Amino acid sequence: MSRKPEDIVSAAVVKHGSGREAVMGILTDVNRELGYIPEEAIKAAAKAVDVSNAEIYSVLSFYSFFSTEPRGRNIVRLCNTISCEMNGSSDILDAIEKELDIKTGETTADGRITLETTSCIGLCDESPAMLINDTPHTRLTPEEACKILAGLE
Amino acid sequence: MPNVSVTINGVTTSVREGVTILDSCKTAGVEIPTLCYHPDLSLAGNCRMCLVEVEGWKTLAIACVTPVTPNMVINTHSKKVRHARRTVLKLLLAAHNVNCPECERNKNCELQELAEKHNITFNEYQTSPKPSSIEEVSPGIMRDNSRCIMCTRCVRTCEELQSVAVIRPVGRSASVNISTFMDLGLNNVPCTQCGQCINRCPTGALFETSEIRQVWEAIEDPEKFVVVQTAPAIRVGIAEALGLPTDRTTGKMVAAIRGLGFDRVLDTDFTADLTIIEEGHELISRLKKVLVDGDTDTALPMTTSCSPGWIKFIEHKYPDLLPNVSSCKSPQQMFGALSKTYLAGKEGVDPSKVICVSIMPCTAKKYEKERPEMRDSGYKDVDYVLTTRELASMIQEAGIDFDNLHDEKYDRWMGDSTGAAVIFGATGGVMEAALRTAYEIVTGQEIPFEGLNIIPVRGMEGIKDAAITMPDKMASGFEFLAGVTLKVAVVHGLANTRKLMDKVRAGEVDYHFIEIMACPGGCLGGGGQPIPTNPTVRKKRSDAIYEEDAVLHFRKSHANPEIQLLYAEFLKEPLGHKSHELLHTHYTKRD
Ligand code: SF4
Ligand code: SF4
Ligand code: SF4
Ligand code: FES
Repeated sequence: MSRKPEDIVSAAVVKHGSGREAVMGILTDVNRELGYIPEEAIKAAAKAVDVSNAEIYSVLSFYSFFSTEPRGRNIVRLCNTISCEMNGSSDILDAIEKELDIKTGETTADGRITLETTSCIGLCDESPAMLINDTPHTRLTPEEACKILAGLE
Repeated sequence: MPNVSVTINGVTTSVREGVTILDSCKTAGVEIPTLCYHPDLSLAGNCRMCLVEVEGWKTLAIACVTPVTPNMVINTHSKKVRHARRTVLKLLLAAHNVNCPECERNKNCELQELAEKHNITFNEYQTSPKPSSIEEVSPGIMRDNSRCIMCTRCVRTCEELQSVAVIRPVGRSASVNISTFMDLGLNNVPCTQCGQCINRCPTGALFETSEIRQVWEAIEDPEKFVVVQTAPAIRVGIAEALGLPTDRTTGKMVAAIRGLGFDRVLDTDFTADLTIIEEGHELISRLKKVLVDGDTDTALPMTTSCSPGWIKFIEHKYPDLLPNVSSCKSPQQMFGALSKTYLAGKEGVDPSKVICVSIMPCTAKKYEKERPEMRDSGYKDVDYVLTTRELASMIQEAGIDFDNLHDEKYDRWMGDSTGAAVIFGATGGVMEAALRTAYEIVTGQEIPFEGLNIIPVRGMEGIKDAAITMPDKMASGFEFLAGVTLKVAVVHGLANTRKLMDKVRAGEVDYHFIEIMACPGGCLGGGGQPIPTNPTVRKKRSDAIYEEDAVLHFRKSHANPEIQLLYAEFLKEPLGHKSHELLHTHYTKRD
């Protein structure tokens, strides 16, 4: 049973404070625990920091690691920036989409995997690369990528 | 701050240390193009339109945010500068839905003007034209982000001037847009519909929800009896909206509106006077309840209620203070309710045939007229609201030569006006008008200010206050006020309002009466007024308003002969049964 979004925010405020600079910490805590940042959490964070809902929404909309939609148990983020792209990331994306039968941005019906692309994750020297949750996987091929995904719970 | 010497385009001048390059160039009479800069707002430095060259600098300087330093050598139109500015403009235009003939801001657009001034006749970056997309619709405001240049002037307006902060950049990089919380749209967030963002947008990305077409249709329908009311601030805005110098042009405005084909041209000033009578009596009655009866349920300070932007603001932000708001409807809505009852009777027309159109300096009035409680006449009290800008557009469409019109007068029954009503259009005006009348009711004498001009409540300071001590000798029935010092405050712009309301909530101030206008400067700076707006423009409009007050025959609301007739024949008495039915309202707490 996970905590209510408002409670996660309250706990995060104790940890990070209620200044403007606490916003990223609060949002990260919510995102980590729930896998996404629901509307109630945005409202609670805005209230705690005393800024408008729009301001919090604006901040989180900037970061691709934050989402306002529920996501799967595992989040796969394939880098789409130029080095990975030159080393074949689009072929990998095609292969994964086909394998999982979803498009980028979607979640598998069983809630197992959400597929996303991301801007540079700093692994250009080992491209193409992807992150699964917090773990990097590098020098991928389409086959290898699909194999890794098959092993996810 | 000491002065420093700077050289601008080869000419050396002395400017205050610390001012920006932009300001020092302005002082020197050198124009620098800007887009994200606005004199009412904080500096953003995001558009790069104002780039200039500074000797010894590797990169170009952003004039609007860079302070001058001693002996700075500035060049504002070197080859490098001109090339950079042209590139900035071309890139902005390439990401823009360039469709000027179909745009609300055609011929009054800063982007268009700069493109013309910089002779952008060909744009090699333009790939495919961006399609138009009306992203947002609300009763007062529309947004088409395909014309947005992301200057954030609207965002800063909403946050800094209005402390509402419902719009923000959302997303990143090429997909960033100005949007609302969860992209819900202005209609579903605590937007006050004030339209201040429209007035500060350099392009056609923000504009009012137009009702021009509906108004033409009503005028052209022979079955309908179309009456129009004009708000106090229109008479000092309409000339400007038509491209003429700011001036009070009441007579020409009446002639122009009549020329459009309305059946009756009447004045919101009439119901502004009525508001003063009703609100004045409400204030006196609240004072009596608190001071004499010791009633703890009666809320003081009482605040005005004529600004619908303010009403929506308090409903969202200070619902606990709603009992403090006067129950008087705004003059627009009082007019609407009377147009379909009293006026219909006087004119002998079927109220169901009456269409009430108002010309307002305001976009929040478009929202106000849609409120479900605004139907006390048995019909929708006000059918359509046009902004000053929309009226100008109709006058132009009809080919009316405004400047050469002869002055005409308002029609009767609801057309008489006083100086007290005219100054409703400026911050402090409602307070001044209310004091002129209320003081006289309770003391039987004129308020002791030279020429009835209550100077302490005038001017553009954000929060003003005044105290007036009542004489020992009062009119009969008002002896309880003898020697009482009445404390009043006047505030305009919602950021100032928030500061004051926080103090009211905390019990830190002991005012009896507060005038609140959502827009900076009051209605003369309303979201429906001509664009641009800035301190100079607002000052000119304000001067024109007080000039009009000074020349009018009647200067006190209770002296308005048609108001006296209205009470004698129809309402009977202030705060009476009919008044409560038609002229007063209630408010709703909103999330
Ligand atoms: S916003 Fe300005 S440049 Fe753009 S279409 Fe409208 S008038 Fe033209
Ligand atoms: S209309 Fe007023 S409250 Fe609404 S977004 Fe614009 S500035 Fe903000
Ligand atoms: S809507 Fe207008 S004011 Fe707001 S960012 Fe866009 S161009 Fe600037
Ligand atoms: S006006 Fe200076 S950066 Fe926009």
